[in-house]
Amino acid sequence: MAEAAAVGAESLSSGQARAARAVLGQLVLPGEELLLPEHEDAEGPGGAGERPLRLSPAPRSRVRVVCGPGLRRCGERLLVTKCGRLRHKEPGGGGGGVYWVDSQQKRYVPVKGDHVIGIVTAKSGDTFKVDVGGSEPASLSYLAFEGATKRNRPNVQVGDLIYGQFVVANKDMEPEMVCIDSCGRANGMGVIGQDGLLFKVTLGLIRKLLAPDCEIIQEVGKLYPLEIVFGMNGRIWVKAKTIQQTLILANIFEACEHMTTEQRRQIFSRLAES
Amino acid sequence: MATEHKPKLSKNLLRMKFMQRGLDSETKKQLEEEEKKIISEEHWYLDLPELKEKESLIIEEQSFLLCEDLLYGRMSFRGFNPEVEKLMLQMNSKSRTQEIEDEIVEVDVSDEEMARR
Repeated sequence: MAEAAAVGAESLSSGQARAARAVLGQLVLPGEELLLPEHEDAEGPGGAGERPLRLSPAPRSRVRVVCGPGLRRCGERLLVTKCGRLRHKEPGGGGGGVYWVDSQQKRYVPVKGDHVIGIVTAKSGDTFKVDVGGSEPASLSYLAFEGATKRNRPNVQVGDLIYGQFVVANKDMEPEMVCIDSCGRANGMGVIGQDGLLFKVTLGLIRKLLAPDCEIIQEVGKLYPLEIVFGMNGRIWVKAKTIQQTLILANIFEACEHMTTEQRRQIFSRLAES
Repeated sequence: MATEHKPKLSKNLLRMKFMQRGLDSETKKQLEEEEKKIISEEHWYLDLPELKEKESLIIEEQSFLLCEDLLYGRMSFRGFNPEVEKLMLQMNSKSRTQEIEDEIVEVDVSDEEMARR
């Protein structure tokens, strides 16, 4: 990691943009500029100043590139805004794929479409105020529940846990949540049941746990009957049959972020025995 | 005396609606031009280079959903909450069923074979 940081600092000090393809999986730092494949030949090592004159400009490959979290478009340029490793996903059908920065952070910033766990902090008229860990509480309309009408209000109390989705999340506006999908069905969203335990982990761990081939989840699922809810805002809610089992789960999730695969396997085998 | 020395009316007076009828065509034109000039001078314009939004090939998207194929956030194991388990199957199998369907299409009778029959 220290090595990678040194490389990053070096490229920053020289002020030269690196090609996005060349730094895949490597550390990038905020403020760095990345070159997309189609820009590489035009603004290569020679710099923008000495661009060779072309009589017939080569047709630029017009592929759309998506820049995900941690990257920002600035005109034609691609800038890094977060510190972390650059990742890339090949496109499914055409296009230039997706680039993003895999970063480690604890502060959640609401993003449209994210599923999060919120705590109802206030009821004000037609909306609930929900704390989601962002800079501002999100608003949740009482009509945004499955089967809710003006007459038939959902039974939501202050202090309840809500699993919902963002429909409005701008940097200048109050975020807005709903507990139904576009078809009006709950699909598991709404008030999360009684009891259970809520705790916070880093945002990176949530993504790690929700990855389709996550070993931790597969191992945990074999232990005993349990239920988990993951919010993209770093909150995890767990519930098992006894309080002891619930606490064990919470401890596993909190600890597994800084464990190696070997250590994890040891712990799971020990748990399975007991 | 009066025919020789017509009293000159001021421009502002000539520009008034009821005075326009008696004017000859030349003075009319002159007045119109002047008016146009004044109007065009009064228009405001921004002293900026032309803002032309080029079609950008980079799309910004701040969600991790698009980047990583994340699973649905609610999970239940070993029959703790049957409803959620059903939901898990439904939500997490969306991408997988599509792959399976594609395979099935390939396994089916190919076009060539159909032609032979």
